[in-house]
This record gives sequence, structure tokens and C-alpha cells, in this order.
Amino acid sequence: MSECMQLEQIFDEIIRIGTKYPEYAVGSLIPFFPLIMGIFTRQYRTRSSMWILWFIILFIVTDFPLWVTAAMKIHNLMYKHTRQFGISIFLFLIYFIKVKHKIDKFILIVFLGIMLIGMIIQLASIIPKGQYQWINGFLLGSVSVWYFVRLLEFPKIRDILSYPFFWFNSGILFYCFSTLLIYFFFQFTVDSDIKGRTYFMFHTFLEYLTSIMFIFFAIGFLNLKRNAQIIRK
Amino acid sequence: MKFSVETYLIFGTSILIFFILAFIVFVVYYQRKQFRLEIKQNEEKQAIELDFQKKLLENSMEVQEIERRRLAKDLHDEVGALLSVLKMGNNQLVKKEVEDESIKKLVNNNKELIDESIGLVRSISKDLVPQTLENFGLIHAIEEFFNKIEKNSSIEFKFLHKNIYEKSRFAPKVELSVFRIIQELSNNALKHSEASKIDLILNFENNTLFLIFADNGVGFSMEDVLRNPNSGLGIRNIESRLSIIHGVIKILNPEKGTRFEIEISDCYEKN
Repeated sequence: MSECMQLEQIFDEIIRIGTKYPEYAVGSLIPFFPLIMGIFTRQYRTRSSMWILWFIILFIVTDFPLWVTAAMKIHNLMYKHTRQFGISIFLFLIYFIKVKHKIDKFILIVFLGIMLIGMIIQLASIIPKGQYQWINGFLLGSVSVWYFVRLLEFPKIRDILSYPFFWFNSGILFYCFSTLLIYFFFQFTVDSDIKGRTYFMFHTFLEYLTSIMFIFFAIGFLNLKRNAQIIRK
Repeated sequence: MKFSVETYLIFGTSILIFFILAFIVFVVYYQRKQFRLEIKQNEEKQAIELDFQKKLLENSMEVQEIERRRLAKDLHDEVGALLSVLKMGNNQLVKKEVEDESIKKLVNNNKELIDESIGLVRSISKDLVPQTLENFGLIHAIEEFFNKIEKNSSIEFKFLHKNIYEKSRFAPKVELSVFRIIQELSNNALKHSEASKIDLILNFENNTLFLIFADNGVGFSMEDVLRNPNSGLGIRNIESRLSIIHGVIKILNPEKGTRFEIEISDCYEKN
């Protein structure tokens, strides 16, 4: 009975937080949009689209504990930053499918190494506020730019706007570089008081920019069918 | 005036977003441009390759015709002349009175063989270089060719021509190719089709020559022919000849026999 009541209380608290900070609710609900798109277009799936779909699922699943811990008033900053490292690395791995040149793969491995070291440092609580998150964003963003450069060097895609990975990569690029300044200044401007105005403003920004990335992903999934038809032609 | 951190951040992030979007738009524009350029380059490359292959084919056909001509001339002038001398010598022997009957019989037999050889040499050299085609045109040459093979086979040939007059002439290259194609199709039908009837229709409309060659034989599967590297040379040869004169071939397999439909555009092309 008490467990049931506790669950009800948590649920009420989640509703309260979502109503008070709708941008957080939007940030958590937006990934369902590309998820539904991805499920509907799964018959035209590609390896990269499946990877993105798994990324969205990971994002949603790991987002849920944030709401619960927030509702239970448990300190979740450490989890939040570690999750951020984790999903950046997961997203980064997608480029191992897309990259063909040996040198590019070598660069990816080096970047991945840097990201993993960052995550270990994060897990060891040396950087409790996720100061080096911007490095992840910078590395991931650089790879997405490099991918576009390679795409221009070998123009094999008939209609780039119908090419799903163009939208996925654009989403990643947009997310990484638009959030770069926020993550970079995070370490200098935000103190440990998570109720501070700047902290909330930063996070509101991040929620909206992350939502835009998911919209890019949704457009990518929408183009799966058209791309499959173009390839068949 | 002092700006807050938020203002700097909004300003900086807005600039970054602008550059990101500009970069994405640039990627779309440049990729499309590059792709179009590559398609154009590939098309040009293919056109050059096709042209080169066409010229190569044209040359090889020309060499083939020159060789045929040389062979026909050699047969006629050299072998034909030798046979004529032999015939004259044999005729002198015939005139001489010989008592031995067996020798007489042998000389007469030789005379027959020499006459047959002379006829054969003439026929081969005529086949090698279709003089009728060069002198009188396609219609006469086809009629002569059909008459000749009709005599030596049990197949009935039916030849119809529409909008082509007996004196009408096409470009020599077209005439020769069409004649060789008809020869090839007829030979194939004689060898493999087991047909009793062959129909040939030639129609000339809108500067396009339409040719229909149909037999009532056993037919064949194009897939089987193409799968076997040792067969289908005749069909490939026909396709090669047609590619030079802007022609296309359609091979149909009706209920009985085979039907070839050929279209040749620009029959008066001189080059």
C-alpha cells in the first residue's frame, strides 16, 4: 500500500516538474517522435538508421531515471553527466559504420579513446560537473564535419536531401556545435547550486537544441523509404 | 553597457547556429553540383567510349569487307584463271583421239569436275562480294539471294517490300549491313530452325527502314543462346552491324518459329 502511494507521489512530482519546467518535458518527449518514425519505416532500415534508432531508445531509457530521481529529490548530477558522456560515445560509434578509409578509422579510434578517458574521469568523480563535456561535443562535431567533407569528395548520392544519413549527420552536427559554447562556459559560469538561474537557462537551451537534433533524426527516418526507392531505381 | 553571461551565450550560440545551418546548406548545394558534374563527366566518358567502340567495330567490319573483296578477287583472278587454263588443256585432250575408253572417260569426268569447280569459284566470289547489291541495290540483291537458296533448299521464301522501289538506293553502309544481316538470318534459319517458310518484309517510312524476318521453325531461347559462349555469334554479329548504322533489333518468340524486327533510322547517312 505504501509502495503504491510512493509511486503515486513520484508520479505527481514528475507531473509537477513537467508542468513547472515544460522545456524539460518537451526535451524528454521529443525523442518519441523520431522513435515512432523509425519504427514505422523499419522495413526500409539501414545499418546507420538502426544505430540511430537504438540511440533514441537508449536516450529515452536513460532519461527516465532522471525524472524519477528528480521527483524523489535524489542528487542526480553525477548520473546526468555520466549519461551525457555515454550517449555521446554511443552516437560517435555510428561513424565506424559510415567511414571507409583506414586513416579515418584511425582518427575515430583516437577520438573514441579520448572520449572514453573523459568518461572514466567522470566516473571517478574527478569532474563532478561535467566540465569536459564540450570536448566530446567538439570531437563528435568534428567527425560529422569530416563526414560531410568526405561526402563532397566522393559525390555518389543521387539526392542528398533524401539520404537519411545526411539528416542524421546534420542533426549530430547541429547538436554538437550549437551546444559547444554552452558546455564550454558551463565550467566557468555554473556553480554547484543547481537551483541557480544560469544553470536552468543553460539546461533550457540544451533541451531545445537536443530537440532540434531529434527533429533532424525524424526527417532522416521519413526519408528512408524515398532513399530506398531511389536506390532501387 | 554591460552584457550578462546569458546575452553573450545567446549571441554566441546564435552565431554558431547560423554557421552550422550555412554549412549544411553549402553541403547540399555543393554536393548536388558535384554530383551533376560527375554524372556529366561519366556521360561524356561513356559517349567517348561508345564512339570509340563504334569506330573500332566499323573498322573491323570494313577490314572484313576488304578481306572478302581481296579473297573474291584472288579466287576469281587466280584460281579462276588456273581453272580456265586447266579447262583449255582438258578440252585439247578431249579433241584428241584416244583409243583407251577408260582415259576418255577420265578426261570427260575431269571436264565435268573443272566446270563444277569454275562454277563454285564464281559462286563463292559472288557471295563474298555481292556485286548485284553494289550495282542494282538491295531489292535485287535480296531477290537474287533468296532465289539462289530456294533452289538448294526446301524452304519457301516470301519477300515483300513497301515504299522501296527497285531502283531505290540507301547509303552503301546501310545496304551492305542489311544484306549481310539477311544473309546471317537466312543461314541461321537454314541451319537451326527446321522451318518450311521464311517471310521477309522491308518497309521504308519516315526515313526509317523496318525489316521483319520471320520463320515458322522451332524457335529458340535467347537466354540459352547468350548463356552459351560458343553460340549466338551470329546474333552478336547482327547487333554489332546494327549498332554502326543506328539500328535496333527485337527478337520475338511467337507460338511457332522466330520473328526478328529490325529498325534502322537515318538510312541515307553517308559516313
